[in-house]
Amino acid sequence: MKSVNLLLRRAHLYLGLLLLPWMLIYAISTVFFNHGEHFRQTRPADQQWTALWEKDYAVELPTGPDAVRETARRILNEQGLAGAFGAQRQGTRLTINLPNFRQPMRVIFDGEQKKLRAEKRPTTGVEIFMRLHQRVGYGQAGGLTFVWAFVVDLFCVSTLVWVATGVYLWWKLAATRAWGFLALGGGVASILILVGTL
Amino acid sequence: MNVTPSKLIRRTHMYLALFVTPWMIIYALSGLVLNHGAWVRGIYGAKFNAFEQVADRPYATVFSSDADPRQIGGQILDELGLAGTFNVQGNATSARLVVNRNAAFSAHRVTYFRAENRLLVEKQSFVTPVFLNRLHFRHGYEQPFLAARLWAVTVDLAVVAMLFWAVSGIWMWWEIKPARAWGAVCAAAGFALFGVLFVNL
Repeated sequence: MKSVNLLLRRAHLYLGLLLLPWMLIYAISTVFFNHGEHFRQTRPADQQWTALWEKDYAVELPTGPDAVRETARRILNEQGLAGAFGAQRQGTRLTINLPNFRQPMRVIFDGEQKKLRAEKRPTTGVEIFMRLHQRVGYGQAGGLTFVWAFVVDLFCVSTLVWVATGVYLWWKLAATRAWGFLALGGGVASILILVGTL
Repeated sequence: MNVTPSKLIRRTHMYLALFVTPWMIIYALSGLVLNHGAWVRGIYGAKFNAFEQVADRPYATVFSSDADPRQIGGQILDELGLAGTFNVQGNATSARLVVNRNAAFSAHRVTYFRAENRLLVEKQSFVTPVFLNRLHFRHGYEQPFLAARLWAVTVDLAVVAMLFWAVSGIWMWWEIKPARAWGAVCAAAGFALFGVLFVNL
């Protein structure tokens, strides 16, 4: 039994240390979401996109969501740009957004002028934290994108492990049971009341 | 009773965790839903995020052209017995004003057709992943409803708890000498991995 206790304590601790950066990211970014009325003011006044480069380019404008995505992927590959992206076509304009953590950029193909242009926009530390918080999913190509999604899964599962091992370790401390019941019961009662009245 | 700093930190770490346990479970489960969005949506098919008509009824109230859309939305919801957190799409003179009322268990979409003096009331059927996501996304002090503001307080409390767990976790790790080496390896691996991902993604 002692070894089980030790195993759970160590799992609780080592998972926490491994995922410390994500714990901090999710905590700090949540402050920005929860107090958006204050942090929206920190956005740069000038949110204009500025050109990084522009070149002549020719590609057949795609039709349909799959073709839009495939064409966007081909353009990015040819330009040596990697990472997660979203693409949309409006008329003769194809816009590819690359939501990189540190510096978001977009690549625009103008079908009328046959020009390909890359642009960036000013960003802030607050926005970087928000992008880190919001990045989820396995739907994008790229090994590191997969790793990020895997870490998100690991963090979620670890949270459940922290809860389960935390409750177990609390239960093993007989001296803390009464106050523990009060804390856990208070939390459960609070959330039930709030969820029922929201 | 002898309360040392170490014991105080351990107890605060634990009691704080026990209180916010329900929130952490919701955030964890919702995180899994969001991380596997396409798969989860595939399970539920068209039922995911679907709205069903609840009522289509006349609505005779006339609003002045300078009425605030939020005021209109709030009044409509009051009259429907649906008061609570909401947002509005459209402006006071729009032919169609959409009022989205997001409760925890259900979401209502009320469309006000101004020229026709008509209200279309739709309700989103209960789907567990959508319920979890709604609670995950709920934040902020900008809604003038007590429950919504208290929820925002609990979100802040979860933040305080996470920051405290991080700091107190480091403290407790350092106190356990046999765990120092492997703990350092785990922390270093975590920060190194994060650094690589942050620079390259």
